[in-house]
Amino acid sequence: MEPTQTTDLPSTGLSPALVAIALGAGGVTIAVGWHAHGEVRADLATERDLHGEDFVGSSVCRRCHEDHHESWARTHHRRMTQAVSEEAVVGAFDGSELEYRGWTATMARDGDDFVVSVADANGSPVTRDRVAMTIGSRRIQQYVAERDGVFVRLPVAWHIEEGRWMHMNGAFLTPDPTEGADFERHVTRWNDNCVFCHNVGPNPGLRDGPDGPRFETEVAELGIACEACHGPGAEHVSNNRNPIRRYALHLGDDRDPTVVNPDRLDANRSADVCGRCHGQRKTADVRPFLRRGDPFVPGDDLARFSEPLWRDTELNGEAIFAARFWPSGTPRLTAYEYQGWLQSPCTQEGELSCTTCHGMHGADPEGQVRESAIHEGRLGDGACIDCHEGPGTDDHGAHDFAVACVDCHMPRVVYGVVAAHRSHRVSEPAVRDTQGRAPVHGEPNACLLCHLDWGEDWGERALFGGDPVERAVVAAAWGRSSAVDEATARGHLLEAMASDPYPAVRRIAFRALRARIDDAPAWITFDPTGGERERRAQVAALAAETEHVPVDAERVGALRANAETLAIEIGE
Amino acid sequence: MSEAEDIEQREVRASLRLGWSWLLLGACAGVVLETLHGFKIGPYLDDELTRLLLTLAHAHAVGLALVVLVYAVAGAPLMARRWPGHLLRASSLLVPLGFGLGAIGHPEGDPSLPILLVPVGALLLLVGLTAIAHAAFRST
Repeated sequence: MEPTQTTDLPSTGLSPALVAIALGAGGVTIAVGWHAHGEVRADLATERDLHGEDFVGSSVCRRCHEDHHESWARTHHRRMTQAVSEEAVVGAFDGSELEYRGWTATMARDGDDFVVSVADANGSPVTRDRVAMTIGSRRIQQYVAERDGVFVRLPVAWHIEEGRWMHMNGAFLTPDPTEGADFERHVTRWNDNCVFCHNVGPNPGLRDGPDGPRFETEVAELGIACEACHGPGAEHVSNNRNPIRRYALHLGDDRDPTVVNPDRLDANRSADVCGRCHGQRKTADVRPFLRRGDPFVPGDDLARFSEPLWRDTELNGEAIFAARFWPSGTPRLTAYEYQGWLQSPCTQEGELSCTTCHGMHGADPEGQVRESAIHEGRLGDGACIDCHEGPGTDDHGAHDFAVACVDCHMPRVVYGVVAAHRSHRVSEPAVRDTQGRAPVHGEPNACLLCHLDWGEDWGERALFGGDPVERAVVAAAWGRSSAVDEATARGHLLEAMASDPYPAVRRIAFRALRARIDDAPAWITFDPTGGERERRAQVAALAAETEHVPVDAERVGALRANAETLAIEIGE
Repeated sequence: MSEAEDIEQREVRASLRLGWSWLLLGACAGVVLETLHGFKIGPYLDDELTRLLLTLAHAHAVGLALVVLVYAVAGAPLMARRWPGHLLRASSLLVPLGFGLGAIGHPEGDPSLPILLVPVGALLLLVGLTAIAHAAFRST
C-alpha cells in the first residue's frame, strides 16, 4: 500500500465555522451562566418558610456532605432509634435469661427475628414480642415491639456498659415493687412518647376510629439525623443541583435560605434546636402535636409552640414536675439541659449556646464536646476562657488547674440513664455552705461532691438520708472523689448497694464501687434489681474481697429513717 | 519540503513529545496513587472526592496522552492545518489538570474552581476530534 500522501491534502475547511461555533457556544454559555447567576442571587436572597417542606433523609445529604455525614454517623444521635437488624442490636439475643423477682425474660433469635419472651413466676408464658426497633446505643439499649397496632417499649433493656440485661424498673428512680414483679410497669407506648425526640419529622398520626383512637405514626427518618437540626431539605437538595448555585455558596458568604445551619443562628435560636428535645416542655394544646406532629422547625422560636417545664409548672392545677428540680430550681434530671442553659448567667449576660461547647460534627462522639471547648486537656475550659480569665487569676483557692471549670460550675447533680450527669445551669458554688453542718435535701454543693467528709460528713448523710436523686448523684460522687479515703468510699458504696431501697441508686453505687477497684476483676458481680437477701449475700462476698471501712450500721439506719421516698417515673 | 509536509512534521513532533511526556507523567501519577493506597495514607483515602478527582486526573492524563500519540501517527498526516492538533494537545493538558487541581482545597461535595478547566478542555477536545474526523473523511 502506498503511504498516505499529504502534499495535496485539502484544508479541513472547518476552521472558520468551528471557530464561529466555539465562539457562539462560549457566548451562549456566558449569557446563560450570567442569567443563571442572577437567578441564583435572587434565590439566595429570598427567605424560605421551611414548615411543610419535605424531608429527604440523610443518605441524600451524604451525596454532597460526606464529611459531615461521616462525623454525624459516629454519634449516638444517629443510633437513637434504629430498625431492628444485626448491626443495630447490641444486646445478647442468644437465649440469655433475665430473672426479675421470680419472672423470667428470655432473649433469643427466631430466624431473622429478635424475640423477647416473658414467663411469670409460675413459668407460664406471658408475652412474646418480636423486636421492631432499638433505642439507644451508648449506655443502655431499649427495645420496641408492635403490640395491637401500636409500638411499645419492652420491659427489658441491654446495659451496654455492663454488658448484661437489666429490667427497666431498675432504670427509673422508683423503689422496688412492694409485691410481685410489676414486670410491665414501664412498658410505654412509643407512638406518642419516644417518637417525638428520637426521630426526624415525627408525626404520631393520632386518628379517631370507631374502636377508639389509633395511630398512623410516621417519621421522616429513624434516629436523630441531619434534618432534625438543619430542617427539611427537599428544596435545598433540588436547588443545589444547580452547580452555579453551589459555587456561589462555596465562594461567597451567602446563607442558603433553604437549609438551617445552627452555627449561623443567634445563640437563642441555636439553643432552641437542641432544646426541642433536651428541654422537657409542655404545650397549651397537645392534640395538634399528636395528630400532625411537632410543628417546630430549626430556626423557629421554640416558645411559639411550647414552654419549658419548671419546678412550679402546673398541670391540672398541680405542680407535678417539682420533683424533677432541686429546690433552687436547677433541673436534676437529664433532658432538662435547656432549662439549665436558660438559667445560666452566661446565657443571660453572654452569648452562651449549646454549640459553644457541643457539636454534632467532629466532636468527641461520647459527650460531643467540641475540640475548641477543651483547653490543656480539661473538658469545657476552652469554652470558659473565651470570656473568663480562669483559675489562678481570682479566688479559686488552691485548685488552680487541678480541676476543670465545669467540675465546680457544672457539677454532676443530674440523674439520667442510671448515671450522674453535669448540671447545665452554670453556677458558682458557695464555699461558705461547706462550713458547719451542710444540709441534705437540697441541691448538692459542688465543693461537697468532692469533699464528701466536709459539712459534718455531708457525703454520708446525703448518701443514706437524701432523697433518691440526691442519693444517686452522691453515690456517683463517692466513686469519683479524689478527696476521700478509698477504703472509706468503698465501705459507703457497699452499704448503699446493700440497703438502698431504689435499684437505680444501688446500680450507681455498684458502678461507683467498680471504679474504686483497679481493673474491675471478674469476681465483681452484683444484681442491683435482685431480691434483698441475694443482694446482701453478693455484697457480703464483695466486702470480703475488698478492703473497706464499714459504715456505722446504727447511724445509717437513723439516716435511712429520715430519707425521703419519692418516685420519679422519668429519667431512664 | 512542502507546506503540508512541514505541518505534518511539526504536528508529529509536537504530538510525540507531548504524548510521551504526558504518558510518562500520567504513569508516574498512577504509581503515586498506588503508593498512597499501598501505604494507606489517610488524607488521600479518607477523602472520597479527592480520591475520585485524582484518579480521574491520572486516567485522563494517560488516556489523552495515548490519543495524542495516536494522532501523531494516524491523524497528523491527514491535517493541512495545525489548530486541530493544538486543540487536542491543549485538551489533553486541561482535562487532567482540571481534575487534579480541582482536588486541591475543594469544598465539601464539590471540586475546587480549577475544575472549570475540564469542560473547557472537553469542548476543545470535541472540536479538535471533529476536525480530525472531518479531515479523515476528506482525505484521499
